[in-house]
Amino acid sequence: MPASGRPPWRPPSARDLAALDRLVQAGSVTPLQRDEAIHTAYAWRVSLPDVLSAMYRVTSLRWARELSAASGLPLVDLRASPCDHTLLAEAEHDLYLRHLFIPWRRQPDGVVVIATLNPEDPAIRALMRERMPGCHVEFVITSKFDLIWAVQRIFDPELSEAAREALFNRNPELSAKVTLSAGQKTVAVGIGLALLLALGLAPRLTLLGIMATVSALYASLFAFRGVLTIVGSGRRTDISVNASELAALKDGDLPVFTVLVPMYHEAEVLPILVDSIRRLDYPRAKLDVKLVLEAGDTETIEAAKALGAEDLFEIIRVPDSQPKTKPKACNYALRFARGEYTVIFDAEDSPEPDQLRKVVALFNASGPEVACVQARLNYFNRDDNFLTRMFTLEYSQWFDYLLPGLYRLNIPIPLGGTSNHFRTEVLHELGAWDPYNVTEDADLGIRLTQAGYRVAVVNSTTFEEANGVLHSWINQRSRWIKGYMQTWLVHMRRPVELYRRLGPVGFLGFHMFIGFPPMTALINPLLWIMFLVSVIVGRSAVAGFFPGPVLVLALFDLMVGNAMYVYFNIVAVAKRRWYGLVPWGLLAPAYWVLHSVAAYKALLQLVTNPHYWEKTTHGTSSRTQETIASLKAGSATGNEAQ
Amino acid sequence: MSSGANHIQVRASGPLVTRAWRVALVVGGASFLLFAAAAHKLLLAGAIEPALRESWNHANSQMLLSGQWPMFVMINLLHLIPGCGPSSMVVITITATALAQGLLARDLIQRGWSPGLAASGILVTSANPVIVIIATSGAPMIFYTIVVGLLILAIDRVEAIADTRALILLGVGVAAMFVLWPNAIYWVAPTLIVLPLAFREMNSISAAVALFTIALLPGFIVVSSMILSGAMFGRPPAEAIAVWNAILHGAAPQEVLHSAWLASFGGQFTAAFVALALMCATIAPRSWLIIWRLGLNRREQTQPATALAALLLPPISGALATYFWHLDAPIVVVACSLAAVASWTATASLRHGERAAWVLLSLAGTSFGWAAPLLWQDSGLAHLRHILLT
Repeated sequence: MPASGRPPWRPPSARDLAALDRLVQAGSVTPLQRDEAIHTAYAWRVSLPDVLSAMYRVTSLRWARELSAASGLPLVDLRASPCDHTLLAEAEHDLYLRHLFIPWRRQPDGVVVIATLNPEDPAIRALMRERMPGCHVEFVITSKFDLIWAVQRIFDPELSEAAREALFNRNPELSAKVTLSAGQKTVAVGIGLALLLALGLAPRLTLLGIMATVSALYASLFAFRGVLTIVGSGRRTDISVNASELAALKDGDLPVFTVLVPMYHEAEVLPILVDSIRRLDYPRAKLDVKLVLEAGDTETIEAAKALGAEDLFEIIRVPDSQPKTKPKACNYALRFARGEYTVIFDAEDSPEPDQLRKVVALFNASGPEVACVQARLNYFNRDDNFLTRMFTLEYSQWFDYLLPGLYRLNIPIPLGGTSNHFRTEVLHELGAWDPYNVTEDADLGIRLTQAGYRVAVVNSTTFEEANGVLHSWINQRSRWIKGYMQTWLVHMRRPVELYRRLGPVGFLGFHMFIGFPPMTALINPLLWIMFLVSVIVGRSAVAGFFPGPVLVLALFDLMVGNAMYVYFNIVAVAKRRWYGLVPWGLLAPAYWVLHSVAAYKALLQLVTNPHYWEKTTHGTSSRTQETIASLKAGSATGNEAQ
Repeated sequence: MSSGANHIQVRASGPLVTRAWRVALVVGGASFLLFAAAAHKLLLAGAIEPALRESWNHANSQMLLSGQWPMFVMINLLHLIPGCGPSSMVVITITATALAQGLLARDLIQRGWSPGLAASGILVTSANPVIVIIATSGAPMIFYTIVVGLLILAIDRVEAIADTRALILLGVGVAAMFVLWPNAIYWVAPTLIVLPLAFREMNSISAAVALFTIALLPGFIVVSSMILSGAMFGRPPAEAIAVWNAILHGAAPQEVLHSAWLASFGGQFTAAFVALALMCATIAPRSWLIIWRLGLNRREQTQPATALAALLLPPISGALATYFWHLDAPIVVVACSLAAVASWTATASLRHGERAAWVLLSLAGTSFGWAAPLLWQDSGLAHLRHILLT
C-alpha cells in the first residue's frame, strides 16, 4: 500500500479492455465513449467499471456479465448460489467490502473459489494467502451489489449489534445509553438535598446566591458569545481554502469519498439528493454514495430503486432494531464505506459543488490531528416565514461566526448535523457515532477533541431546508436540546479527566457552548416572569433577590446582554450579504420563547424517553416542492428525448 | 490612503514586530513619566483634587443611572483596593494615555516609520497641553478620546476590508462613546454621512439599513438601557432623556453662564465655531496633512472616508455640541482631533517627507497650544497652565 493508505491504482487490464470492447460491440457504449472512459480511468486513477458506471450508466451487473464473457470466468448470482459460510471470518467483512470479494465455495480438490468483480486485484490473493496459507484460489465473477448484498446478509446480526453497541461495549462511560451514571445520580441528589437544606435554613440568602450565580452565568455567556462572534467575524477566518490550493488538486490524486445519506420516509426528496450529488465537482467514479435506509421503509427503498440512478448510489438497508436513530444507521452503513474520507449529508442537502475538493485540500494542508472538517450550513428557503428567517439568522451566526471562533480559540466544536467530513479511519478508531445520543454529531465533536484530534471549519456551505412548520420545529429543537443535555452529562462523568484533556479554555468553552445554553433556555421563562412581575407590581416585589451588585449584574444581563445577543444575531447575516434579514433579527426574543418551549419538552423527554429520535419532516417548503417538480419535469423531458 | 490589508502584511515580519514593541515601551514609558510629573505638580498644588474627590465620593447609583458605567465600575473597583484614594484615578488615566501613545508608536513602526521619527512625533504630542491636561484629569474624557481614535481605525477597516468585524467594532465603538460622554450623540449624524462613503457595498436600501443598524444599534442599546434602568429605579424616562435635552446635559443654568463655551461668546454660534475650528487647526495642525494628502494622493482620493472622518468628525461634532449648548470646554474636541488624526496616520502610508512634516506640525501644535490664548480663556484651565509652567 502507498503511504497514503490508499490501495494502489492499476491501469485497465486486458480483460477489462476486452469487456469494454464487448460493450462497444453491443452498442451500450460508443467508440468515442470507450476512448473517453479509458482516458478518464487513467486521469482519475480509477477502475474502468467505476468510470463506466459513473459516467455512462453501465450497471455493475452488466459489466460483470461482459467481464465474465471476455475472461471466460463463470458469472455467479450470489443470491441464487450463496456462499459457504465456513469460509468466512467475521473479522474480515471490512476487507471483503473494501476489496469487493468474498470466499464463495471450496472445491473438492481444496481450491477456494473467490467471487469478485476484479479477479486481477493482487490484494485479494495476498489476503487469501495470509488467511489460508498454502491454499489455491480460483475466481468467479459477480456484481458489486451481489457482493454487498451477500456480506450484509451473512454478517447482518454482527453488523447490527456493532452499530448499536460497539461504543457502549468499548467504553460505557462515553455512551448515552445510560443517562445518568451512578456517580452523577449521587451528586444530583446531594446538590438537591443541600439546596433544600439551605432554603430551609436561610431561604433569602440561598435565593440570593442562586440569583447571583445565574446572573454571573448569563453575563459570562454573553461575553463568551461576544468574543466568539468578534473572533469569528474577521475576514481571515473565512479563508481556509483558497482558489490556488483548489487549482493545485489533481483528479488523479483525489481519494475515494464516501457519502452517507441517512433517510427515513423521505422518498419525495430523493431527486434533490441525486441532483446535488451529481452536481458535485468531484470525479464521480471516486464517489461512494450510500443511501442509508431503514429496512422497513419500503416506500423510500422502492423510490430509490425507481430512480434508476447510477451504480455509485448504493442502497444500504439498516435492519430494524432499537434505538431507531440516525447515528445507528450511520454506524451500520459506515462498515460498508470504501472511502478514505466520509461525509454525512441529509437527503435535502445541497452542498456547494466544490465542497469535497475544498475538504480534501484542507485535509492535505492540515496535520493528521485534523480528523474532521465541518462545512458551513445554511438555508435555501430563508424567506418562507418567520421561523425560517430566524433559523437562518441563527445558523448564520452559528456556522459563520461561532464555529470558526471556536476553532480559532481551540475549543471543542460540536459538529453540525450534516456536512461533517471525517477521516474514515479515525471514525472507526473512535467507535463512530453514539447511537443513543440524539445529537450524536455534537457528541462526536467532543470525543474527537478528547482523543487529541481537531475539527476544522471549511469555507464551503451546504444549503438545507429550514424547518418552517412550528410543531416540527419544536420537535427538532427539543431533540437538539435533549442531545446537548445528553452530551454534557456524558462528558461530565469524569470532569477532571475532561479538564485535563480539553485544557482550561476548552473546558470552559465546553460548558459555555454545550452545557449552559440548554440550561438558560430552561431558566429564561422564570426570569421573564420575574421581570414582568417587577414591571407590573413594582420593583419591591423582587427587590429581595437583587441587592447591590446582583442588581447591577442582573440589569446588565437584562438590558445590555440580551440586546447584544440580538445584535450579534443581526450581524450574523452580514457575511453573506443577506441584508434583508437584518430587521428580522430584532424579533429574536420571540424566537427565544420557542427555544424555551422546546427546552422543557427536551427535559421531559430526557427523563421519560431519552433515546427517542424526534424525526424532522423534510420537503415541506415551497422551494423544495418547486425543485422536485422541476427535476421531475427535467427527468421526464430527458426520458422522452431518449 | 493605504489599506488595512497592507497593514496586516507589514505586521508579518518578526524582528520588526519586536523592534516596534521596544519603541512602544520607550515611548509609553517616557509619556508616563511626563504625565506623572505633570500630575504630581497639579496634585501638589491642589488644582485637580476637588474635582477628583467629587467623582470619588459620588460613585453611587446616580452615576450608574446617568450611564457613567465605566467610571462607576472603575471607581468602585478602586474603592475595593486598600490605600486607594481620589488621586488613584489620575494613575489610571495617565497609564491609559501612555499606553495609547505606546501603541501608536508600535503601529507607526510597523508602518515603516523610523523609530526616531515615530518616537519624537509622539512624545511631542504627549507634551501637547490638551493631552497633558486630559491625561492628568482623572476623568473619563481621556477614554472618550481614545475611543474616538479607535472609531477612526474601525472606519478605516470598514473602508479597506469591509468585513463584519469592522462593522461590529464601529458599532461597539459608538456604544463605548455613549457610556463615556453624552456628547457622543453629536457623532452620530456626521458618522452616518461618512459611513456610506466607507462601505463599498452600499448599493441597496437593505444594505444601507443593515449598515446603519449594525453601526448604531449598540449605541442605541446602551442609551435605551440607561433609560430603562432609570425607569426601573423609579426615574421617569422623560427625565433620563432630559440628559440630552438639557443645556449642558442637565447642568444648572448658572453653571452654563459661567463655564459653557457658547456662553463665553455671548451665545453667538458662528463665533464659537470659528474659534473652535481655529483651535483645532492650530493646536492640532497635523490635520493639515490630511488636506494635503486628499488633494494630491490618488489612493487617498479613491478611499477618502477615513481621512475625511479624521479631519471633519471632531470639529463637526464639536460644532453640533456647541450649537445645542452642550459643550462646556473645547479641550475635548481638540483632543479628539489629535486622536483622530493620530489614528489616520497609523492607517496611511505616508512618505518620508510627509512623516517629517507630521512631526514638525505636531511640534508646532504643541508650541502653539501652550501659547494660544483661546485655550486659556477659561480661568480654570489658565490656572492649570500656570501651575504646569512654573
